[in-house]
Order: sequence, then C-alpha cells, then structure tokens
Amino acid sequence: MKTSWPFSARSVLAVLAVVGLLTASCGNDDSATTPTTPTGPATEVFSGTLDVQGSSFYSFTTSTSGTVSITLASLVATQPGPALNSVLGLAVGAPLGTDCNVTSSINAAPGLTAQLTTTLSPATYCARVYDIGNLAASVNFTVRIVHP
Amino acid sequence: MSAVELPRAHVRTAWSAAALLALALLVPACGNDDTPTTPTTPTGPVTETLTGSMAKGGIAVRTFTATQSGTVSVTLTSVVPASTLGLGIGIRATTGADCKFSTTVNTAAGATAQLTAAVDAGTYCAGAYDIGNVGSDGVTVTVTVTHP
Repeated sequence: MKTSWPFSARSVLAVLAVVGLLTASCGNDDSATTPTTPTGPATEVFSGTLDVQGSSFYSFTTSTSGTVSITLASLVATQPGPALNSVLGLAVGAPLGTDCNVTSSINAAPGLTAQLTTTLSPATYCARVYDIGNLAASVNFTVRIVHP
Repeated sequence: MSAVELPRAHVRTAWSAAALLALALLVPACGNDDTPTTPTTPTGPVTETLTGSMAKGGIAVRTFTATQSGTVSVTLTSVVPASTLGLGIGIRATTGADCKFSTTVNTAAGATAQLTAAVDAGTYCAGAYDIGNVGSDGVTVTVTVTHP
C-alpha cells in the first residue's frame, strides 16, 4: 500500500519561493536618511585691561539653544606672569546701550574650568568682568566663552 | 496494490499549515538587528614634551588639547644652564602667540610636576618664561605636559 505525500512538488516550490522572498526582505533597513551637519560649540577669547573699580564686557551670539560656559582664565599684572588670583566679578547678560545688562553673576578667581555656566536661547549676549573691590592696580585679564 | 490517495481537503490543509509555519518562523526573526557594537576603549592621559631655546626675557610654550576634563601636570624637566624660571598653564589669546597664564610658579628643573591645574575639555598652553634669571646667551629648556 502506497501512501502519497500530501505535498506536491509544486506546492513545496511555492512555499520555498515565499520563504525566499521573506528572507530577502528581512533585515533590509536601507532607509535613506538625510545626513545632518554636526555643529560644535564655538570658543571665543577676549582679553583686556581692567582698571581699579573698572569693568569690561564682550558680546557674543549663540546660534542655537544650549549651554554657555564662561571662564575667567587669566589675570596678570604684566605679561606673561606671574598669574594673580584676585577674585573678580564675572557675569553674563544682554547688551544694553554701551554696557551689559547682567542676568547672572558670580565672584571668582581665575582658573581653567568654567566658573559660570548657563543655558541660553539663540540671541546676542555679553560676558562682563568687573572689579568687586579687590584690585589695587590695573590688571590684564583673559576670559574664554564657549557657546553653541 | 493500489495507492491510497488522501482527500484534496487534507492536502490543502497540510499545505496551508506548512506555509503558516514558515511565516511563523520568519516573522520573529525579521528585524532582529542586534548587531553587536565594538566597545570604545577609554583613552589615558597624553604626555607631550617641548624642548627649545629661550632668550633673555623670552618665553617657550606648547599648545595642547585636553579631550576631556581632568588634571594637567606640567614639569620643568631641564634648564641648561641651570636657572629658575617661571612655569605656567593657561590659554592662548585669539590673536598672537601669547599664552595667557592662569596659574604660575617659579621653579628650578626637576623630575616631578611643579604645576598642576584642573581643566575642562579644550585647548590650552603651558610653558616656561624668564623671570629675570636668563643670561644673554639664553637657556635650553625642556617642559613636559601631561593632560587628559
């Protein structure tokens, strides 16, 4: 007695064809994506002379919202040194007329890590450094601003 | 001897079951893109050396980039002829070759770091300068900087 296999050759081939099509399409994630141009933070350095009881500010513009870091990096009486560690005022705000309208401020000694960080929207701002009463003579300062 | 033929309905059912089984096996596997990623190896501190001649009243600095926040160590390794110099770490001004020192120390050459500073990721400069002890023939200095 002979038993027929329930699948004909044609049926088997059809199933295999379906399996083959599914396998070929599986994992095919070649979706074209538009490459984005990475925009890194910008670094600006401004230097100047700060007089006793004086102040100085520097305007900068942020292109996108993000973190702004301001570092009072250097304070010397004469270049290149010795470096001073006098505590000055360091602030950020928006330019107003011929000055900087401060919104955030701290008192800090010079260093190489940001003493003032804040999150800002795209706009024009200013970083201000000023004598809080600790200077006995004019000094040369350098401030670094890192912003988006 | 005669062959026993299965009913047509039985054949169609068997074929459908096979197709469904094939689909059931493929669907969970499709889209499984658990491609293992290569772990990134953390990079250790980098040591850079500056060797050069310094004239009377001069300065010798090297620019370096810290890829992450950490500690910078500066060693005045050699001064020939021996002399006490100023050693500093700072940032470059936007224009010119000046290194605006944030911290300085007066020191003779030695084997261990005479100056260290905490830094954010970014570009800095470190080096030595004449504090008034360099003769008219100048000196040859070697400064080693270790940074993240």
